[in-house]
Amino acid sequence: MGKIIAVAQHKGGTGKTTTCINLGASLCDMGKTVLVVDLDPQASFTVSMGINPLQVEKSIHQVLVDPNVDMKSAILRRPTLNFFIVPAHVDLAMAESELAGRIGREKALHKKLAPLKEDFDYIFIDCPPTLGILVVNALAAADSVLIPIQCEPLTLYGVKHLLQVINLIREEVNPALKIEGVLRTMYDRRTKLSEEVSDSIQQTFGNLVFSTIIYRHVKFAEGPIHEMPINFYASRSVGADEYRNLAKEILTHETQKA
Amino acid sequence: MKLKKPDRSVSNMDVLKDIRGLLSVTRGREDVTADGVRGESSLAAETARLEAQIRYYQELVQKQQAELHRVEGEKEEFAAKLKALGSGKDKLISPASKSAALGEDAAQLEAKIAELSSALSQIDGLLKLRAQELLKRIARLFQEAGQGEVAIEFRKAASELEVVENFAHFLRVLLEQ
Ligand SMILES: Nc1ncnc2c1ncn2[C@@H]1O[C@H](COP(=O)(O)OP(=O)(O)OP(=O)(O)O)[C@@H](O)[C@H]1O
Ligand SMILES: [Mg+2]
Repeated sequence: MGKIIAVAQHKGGTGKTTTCINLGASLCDMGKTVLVVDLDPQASFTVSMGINPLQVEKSIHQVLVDPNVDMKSAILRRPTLNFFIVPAHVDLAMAESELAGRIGREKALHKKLAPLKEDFDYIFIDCPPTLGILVVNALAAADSVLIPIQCEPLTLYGVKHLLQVINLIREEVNPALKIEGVLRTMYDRRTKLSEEVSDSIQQTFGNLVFSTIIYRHVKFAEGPIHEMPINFYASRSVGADEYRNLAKEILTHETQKA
Repeated sequence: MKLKKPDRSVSNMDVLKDIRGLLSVTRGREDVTADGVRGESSLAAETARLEAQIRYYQELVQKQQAELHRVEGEKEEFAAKLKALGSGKDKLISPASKSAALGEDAAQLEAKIAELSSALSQIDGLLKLRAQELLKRIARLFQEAGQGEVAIEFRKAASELEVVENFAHFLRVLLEQ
């Protein structure tokens, strides 16, 4: 039985998509079967996988709004890896209004995704940097949330809000929702501030913080432009190693529970 | 409850306390309304807290500005080094690899500067938001002090940025319809 992990943080650019890509790829490399659902109308994940979001035949958008389209029919597979993708399309931005007025609209994703837990070890949901029906759907469908926090003081306010949102979702929609972990990203070794924030995160979240820290690397920043961030993963870059360590930590979560 | 002067370090940010409180709810979710009743003195306390927060943001702006200047200085230094490397290409040993490494550093600095600048404008935004909030609160304090309803309103608005307020409302509407 697989696990659904929403990668969420409504502050933009904290490394959600980069985490889905590299953590997903690392887990694949360790023999796990991984699906990433791109739930962001920006479709960065889809683009990063070398898929043109304007040319996909079926995207998460149809799956969400059309009761007759099932999730499996929208899955694409990356050659050579057990890495599966449900792509996004810009029209996903319309899901908000399309789902309005539907009963159970906050559970639309849950309904379509839950049956796939049989087929995958890990299902990641790459959330958009917003608080809206898409994120509600992601948190309603997920077993846990992975929160990437940029090591910068302001991000802490975003985290506070996200925790409030998680508590609301737990009260109203998905009581079983857990925090998979808090991931420190874009840690800049040059600044004291990164260190201070990182320490505070550690003290505040305790064992909810992943020991792995993702440092700021120029290669990551270049990724999406060169459209294949998965190359870092395949390469011997330091960033790829960090994500491999994160993958190991995620795997220990399962063994600890078992 | 500490009433000491606000410490400047990140580890003493109020938001961390708030996060701890939220986490305690997230983990064992029995006591959801732990924050039930707070006395009228909370009005003054909230105001003081907001004022402290504003001071904190002001310091943060200064800190970020200093950091920005520092990184910009560093970038200039790098640019100069890069230039020197480029012009003395033939004389140096393996300048290509060295220049590539420096180039990467320069790009990293460039990214850092962009990030610091955007953080700066965000903090500025927060600062304004907080100041506005404080003003509203004081106005209300004069207008309707002692009213229970106001106290509730007051507590609700306190410490929340608008985005979460909106979200809570959104979720309520979503589930009610
Ligand atoms: N560790 C890192 N070091 C340097 N750059 C990084 C790192 N992680 C991510 N980036 C870069 O920062 C930018 C934002 O990252 P990413 O797209 O993963 O964030 P996001 O949270 O998904 O953004 P959005 O909120 O817009 O969806 C990207 O250009 C990415 O390549
Ligand atoms: Mg993204």
